[in-house]
Amino acid sequence: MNTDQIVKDFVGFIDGFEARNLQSINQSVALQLNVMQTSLRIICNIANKKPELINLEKDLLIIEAALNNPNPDIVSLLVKNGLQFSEILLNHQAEIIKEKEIIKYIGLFIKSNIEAAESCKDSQVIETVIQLGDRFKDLVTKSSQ
Amino acid sequence: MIPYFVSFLIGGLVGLTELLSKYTWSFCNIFKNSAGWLYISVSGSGSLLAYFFIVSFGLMPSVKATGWFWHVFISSVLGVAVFRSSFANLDVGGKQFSAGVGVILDVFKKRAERNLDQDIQDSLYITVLPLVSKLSFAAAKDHLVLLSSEVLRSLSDQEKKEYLKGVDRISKLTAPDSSKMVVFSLLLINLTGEKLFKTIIDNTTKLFAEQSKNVQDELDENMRRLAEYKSSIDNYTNEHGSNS
Repeated sequence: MNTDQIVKDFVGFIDGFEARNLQSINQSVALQLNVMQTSLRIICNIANKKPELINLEKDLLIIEAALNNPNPDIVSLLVKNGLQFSEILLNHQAEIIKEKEIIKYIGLFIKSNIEAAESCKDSQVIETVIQLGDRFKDLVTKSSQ
Repeated sequence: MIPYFVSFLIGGLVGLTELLSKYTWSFCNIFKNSAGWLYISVSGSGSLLAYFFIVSFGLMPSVKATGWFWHVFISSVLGVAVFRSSFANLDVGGKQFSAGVGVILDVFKKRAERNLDQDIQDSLYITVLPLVSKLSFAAAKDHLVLLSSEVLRSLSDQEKKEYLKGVDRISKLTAPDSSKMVVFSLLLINLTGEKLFKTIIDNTTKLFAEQSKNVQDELDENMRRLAEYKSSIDNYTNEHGSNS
């Protein structure tokens, strides 16, 4: 058998490996995705009742919609939404630090992201979640000042 | 009785040759594998059956006149051909099927190949795992690609292109660095054979053990930070739980 054939056969093996790996990640982070959706819904409900948090709600609804749409590529979903959430935390920091209840649910959202990162061990997801962890730490520090 | 045995042997040898053409370096695996034996036996039985029919219906009397060996040989070769042929290729619901007796042998062949693939990859996995445990894919990939391309000089440009495509595909896998290293090693050992693979890995480990350790340390540090964030979130939630 020539090298071409060995590599082609092996690419088939890699495709199978990737498919099984993604399926296993999907299964193991299903619960975390559920918690993320619930936490976001609660944050949106809290924000909806306060006029000064309307813009925060609008931004979060985009992430909520993305999480509700089943996406086969779970890693991209986690990275994309994680980065978007991190940006929202930065842009709305001033409003959020006044709302301890919202910070609590942001914490739950980030904790689910951390557990998802621990499950899939993907470097991109880990880096994104570390960024989220830093943002949370920042929020807690500023809200207690 | 001997002609029947010879007929079975010819068919079996053709089956064995087919498996050997794909698993050149895995002669022992074919004999250790029950599905491999089954395929060789079914292939042998096909020739034996062909010889049985030819004798029963008194076909090819002119060949029989030249001696029993040629009678058996030609009957068996015909059996081999018939049991690998199909009279039509059907397309049903987008899937292609061959219609003919060849389908029977194909079922056993696919099963043998699947079992052999699993057996071979399993034994390679056991060989590879301890050898690459100190190497990181991110740190050692470029060196391994360079070294292996140099060592595998007999590769044509097209083969090198396919090899690099395979490595690129591994780089893009959604998997931890250690899994990527193992998958890459499996590809490499399939190309180089065990002896050369060990030499390449030995050389790479000497040069890249430190960098690989740094990659692993960084991952450990990131995982430790994640655990720390999780516990600080738990603390915050516990402290502010009564507000909800």
